[in-house]
Amino acid sequence: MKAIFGTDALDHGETYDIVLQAFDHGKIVAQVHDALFVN
Amino acid sequence: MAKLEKQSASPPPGQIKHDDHSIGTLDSSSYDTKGTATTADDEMYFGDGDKPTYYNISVDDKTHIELGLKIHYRQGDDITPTSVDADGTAHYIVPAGTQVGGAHNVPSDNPNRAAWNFDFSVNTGLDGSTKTLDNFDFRIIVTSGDGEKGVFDMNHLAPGNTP
Repeated sequence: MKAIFGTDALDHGETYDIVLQAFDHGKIVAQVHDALFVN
Repeated sequence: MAKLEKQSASPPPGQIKHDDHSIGTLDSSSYDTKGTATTADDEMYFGDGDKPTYYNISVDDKTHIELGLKIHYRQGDDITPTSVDADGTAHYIVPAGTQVGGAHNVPSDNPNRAAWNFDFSVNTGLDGSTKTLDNFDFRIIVTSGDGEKGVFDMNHLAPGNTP
């Protein structure tokens, strides 16, 4: 985590958006999105 | 993969027109029911004891794809959303720091891992569709509040093998 998201990666107050996408011949056809608050 | 780079990571609301969103249990074809009627032994194919419950689920009724994301304590209980937006975005509060055992069914400490983790699921065979993972491409994007971003394009290693 820290290698990509910095030394504050696990700290209170950090936020993350996680998105999973599906593509059909390069066109996005589905997506699901989670928004996280680290507390 | 070059074509994927042209796609927006955050398509505007309404761009994806066929998606239905829900929080709950994945389609029964997305996990191992063990052939039993009880749900007590249901688990994901990728790990013993990983339940198909409490996923944020998006279903595209045109391509018959189901996508799922789950947030949980690492090696422990599921974390459920505090709210869900109209577009299906689910909001969660996750614990700061590293993995701590003793609560939320987390078995032990791990100072080298975050306290939370996520699972994902992809099923291209809803509604009797015979399409497979080979027929589509998939991407996970993780963006922090500071703007750091990890983009993970899943590779098709061989026919029927898209880990």
